[in-house]
Amino acid sequence: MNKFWRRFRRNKLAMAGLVILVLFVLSAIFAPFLTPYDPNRANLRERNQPPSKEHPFGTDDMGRDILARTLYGGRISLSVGLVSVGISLSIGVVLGAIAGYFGGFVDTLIMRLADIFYSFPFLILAITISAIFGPSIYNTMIILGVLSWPGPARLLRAEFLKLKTTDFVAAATALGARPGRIMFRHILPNAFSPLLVSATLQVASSILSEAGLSFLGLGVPPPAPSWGNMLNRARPLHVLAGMPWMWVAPGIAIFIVVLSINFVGDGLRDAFDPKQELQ
Amino acid sequence: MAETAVSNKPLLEVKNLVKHFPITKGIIFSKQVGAVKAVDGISFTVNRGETLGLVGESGCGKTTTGRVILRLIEPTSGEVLFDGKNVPELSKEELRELRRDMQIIFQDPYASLNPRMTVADIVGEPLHIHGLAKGKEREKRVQELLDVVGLSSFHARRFPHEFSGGQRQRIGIARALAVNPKLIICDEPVSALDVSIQAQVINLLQDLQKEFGLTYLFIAHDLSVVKHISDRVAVMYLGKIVELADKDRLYANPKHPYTQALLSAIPIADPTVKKERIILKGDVPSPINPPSGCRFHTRCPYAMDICQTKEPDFVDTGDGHFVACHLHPAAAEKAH
Repeated sequence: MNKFWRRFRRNKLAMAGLVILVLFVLSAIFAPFLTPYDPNRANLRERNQPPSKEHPFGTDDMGRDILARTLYGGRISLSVGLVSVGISLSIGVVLGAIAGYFGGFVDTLIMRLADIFYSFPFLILAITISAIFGPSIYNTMIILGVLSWPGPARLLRAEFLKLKTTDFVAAATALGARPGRIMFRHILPNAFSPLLVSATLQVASSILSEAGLSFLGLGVPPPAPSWGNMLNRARPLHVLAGMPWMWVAPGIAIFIVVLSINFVGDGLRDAFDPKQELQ
Repeated sequence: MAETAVSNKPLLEVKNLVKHFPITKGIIFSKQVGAVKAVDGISFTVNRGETLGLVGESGCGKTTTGRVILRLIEPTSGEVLFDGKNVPELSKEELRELRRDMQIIFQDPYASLNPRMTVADIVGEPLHIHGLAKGKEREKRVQELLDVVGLSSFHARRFPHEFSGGQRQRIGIARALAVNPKLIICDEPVSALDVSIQAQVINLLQDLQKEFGLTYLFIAHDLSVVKHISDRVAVMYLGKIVELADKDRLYANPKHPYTQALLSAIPIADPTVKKERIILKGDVPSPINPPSGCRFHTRCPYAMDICQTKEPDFVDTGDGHFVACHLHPAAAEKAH
C-alpha cells in the first residue's frame, strides 16, 4: 500500500487531478458555506445578469445565481457519475469474469444478454424505466448503471480469455486453487489497467448521459440543479451566443472534472503495476 | 512389511492415455470435423524416487502428456494411476487433495509467476490453499523454502520482474515444493534458461530429489540434459512413445530408428571424432492426420511394407527395453 502510494505520487498529472477532484468534491459538500444564495430561489428582478460582484458567475433566465447552482449541481453530477459507474462495474465485472473464465454455454448466455443491452435503444429503455419508476436522482443512477454494464463485462471477458491460458493460472490450478480464487486473486488484478481506464471514461460519459436524461425531464427533476440540466437550460441560440456565462461555468466544471478523473485513472493504472520502477 | 509392498509399486502408472483436441467448424451449430491427436494412446510407469525423461521434438505431445497427467487438461480416455488412484475419475474435491502430491514446474519462468504477487505470496499461496500454515508460521515456512532453493529471505518482498530467469525458476520450484509433493512434472524447466544457469537448476533439482525423495517426470527436448538427470528415458514421436529404456541402455543401444536419428544428432565436443549422422527426410507429419501403420514410416530409412499398414506394438525386448518397431523380433513375433 505504501509502495502503491509512492508510485502514484510520482505521477504529477495524476496528483494534480486528484487534488482538483478533491477540491470539487469538497466544494460540492460545503456549498452552503461558499455562497449565500439558494440555488433554487428565483429572483425575476435579476434575470440574465452577466457576472458581477454580487453574482460572480452571473444569473440564469430565472434570476438564480449560477455559482450557487454550479456548486450544488456538483453534488448531483458527481454522485450520479460515481454511483452509476459503481453499479455498472459491479455487474459488469462479475458477469464478465464468469463469462470469460467458464466459457461455453454460460459465456454465450451472458454475452448474448450483453448484445441485447447494447442493441436496445438507450433512450427508449431509459424513458420506459423512468416512466414506470418516476424521475429521481436515484433512478437516474440505477438506469445509467444497469444499462451500461455490457462495456466493462466485454472488456473483462476478453482479458479473462487471454489470461486464463497463462502458465501462472495453470500453476494456481495445479496447486488446487478454487475458481473464485483464480478469478479474483490471479486474473482480475492483471486485468485491472484496461478496466480502470474504461471506468474513468465511463464516469465522464455518465455525467454527460445524466445531462441528456435531465433534459428530457427523465433524469434529475428541476428545479434541483445538475451540471447537465444547467447546460441544457442554456441551449437556446440567443443564450449560447449572447449569454455565455450561463453555460461556461457548468461546461468548464464538467470538462475539468472529466479531465481530472482521466488523469487519476492513468495514475492509478501505473500505480497498480508493480513493474513501474521506483527510484 | 506392508510399507515395502506399497513402495514397490510404481508411483505413477499411465495406461493408454489419449488426448484428442477437437477441431470444430461453425460458430452456432458447431460440429466436429477432426481432431488433433496430441497424445494417442501412451503407457508408461514412473517408479518411486526415479526420474523418467520424456523426450521428443516440438509438437509431439510431451507437454500435453504432462498436463493431462495433472488434469490441467482433461484426458479423452485412458488411465492415470497415481498411488493407486485413477486421476481422471476423481471428483473435484479428491483432485484438490491429490494436487498436494503432484506438482509442476513450467518451461517459461516469466509466464509462470503472477506479476502482481510478491514472492512471499506466490510461495505462500499453496500453504494458504491447503491450510498448511498461517501467519508467522507461513512466513517462516516461506523463508525455509526460499532457503532450500538458494534464494535469500529478503527476496520474499519482491515481485517476479525483479529477478533473472534462473532465479524465477527457483521461485517456481519453491512454490512446487511448498506442498511437499511426491511427484513433480518438470515441463522443460531449463530450456528457456542460459546454458550456465541450466546446470545450476539441474543440480538444484537433483539435490532436492535426494533431500526430499522426489520423483520426477522430466520433459525435455535436449538429449544431453535428459541423459544427465534421468534414470530411464522415453522417446515420443507424434503422440506415441516409440522407445522406453534404461538411460544407459537407450543411449548405448537405441533400437528404434527415430531414437537412433535423434542420438546421432547430439554434437560431440571433440573435433577428431567423426560421427555418422542420420539425417531424417521431410517434416513431422500433422497430428491431425497421422500416417497409417507405424507413424514414423514416412521418414524411416528402414521402412518395410508392413510398416505402412500395421501399427507396431510397444513390447519389451528384454530388461525393460520397450520399443515399438517392426524391425525388432519381439515386436515382429507378436505381429504374426
